[in-house]
Amino acid sequence: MTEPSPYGLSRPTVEDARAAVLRVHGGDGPRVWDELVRTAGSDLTLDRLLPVMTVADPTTRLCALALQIRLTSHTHLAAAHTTVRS
Amino acid sequence: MNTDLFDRLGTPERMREIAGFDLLNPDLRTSLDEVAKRSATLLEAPVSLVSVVLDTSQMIIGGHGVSGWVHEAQGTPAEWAMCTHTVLAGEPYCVIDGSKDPKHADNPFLNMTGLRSYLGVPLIGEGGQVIGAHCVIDSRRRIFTDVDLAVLTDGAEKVMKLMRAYRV
Repeated sequence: MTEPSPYGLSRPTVEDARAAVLRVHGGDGPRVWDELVRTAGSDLTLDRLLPVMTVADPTTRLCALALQIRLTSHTHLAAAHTTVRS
Repeated sequence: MNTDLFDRLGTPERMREIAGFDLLNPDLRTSLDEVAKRSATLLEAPVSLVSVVLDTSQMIIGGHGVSGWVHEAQGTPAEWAMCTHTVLAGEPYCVIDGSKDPKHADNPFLNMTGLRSYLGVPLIGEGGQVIGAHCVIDSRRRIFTDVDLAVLTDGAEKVMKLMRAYRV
């Protein structure tokens, strides 16, 4: 089943998290990302990654907060979207 | 996702300056809620926000009149946030009627909440980065005055004074 994108808002992904970490850390981004992935372990999902990002350095923490806001927004709007359509 | 916008917002220098504050401190939240309530009351607006604009989302760190999914998320996607425009402009930003403004008529945040007009002023950190905005949002078409702007600017000064006490 395709994930709903209410109002064009898609559910954030691991790739979005990676892009955020590389963006905000500049040249240090790849090292920070590798460390996050190593800590989160195998079977990498956003649900596993976000808690690791939340206890990482302060800048990575901001990325986690931003992604969590997008995730919560998507969850609420997708639920409302589904209710309206059903 | 909107990569170009996120790259503009998520510069390492700007994010580092935002990261220098204890944004989740409950005492700071209480104080910033009070500033938002004061601005909403003085400007007779239903909604007032104090927010930082992160790389992909607007994060509300103080608010009055916030409800629904925005309250649950404590923010909005950056591409929907009116405060993103204030941050990128680096100066006060005003929308008289978002429903008639081609730049904002399709904004899901305005469409879903029924809000129409906006006045925001930037929050500028000591390092010179525009970290967020203090704003009021109204449900009616509204031409904001210089007095409105002065009230909001005063609120933004109070916000930054409070935030400086919560540096980490």
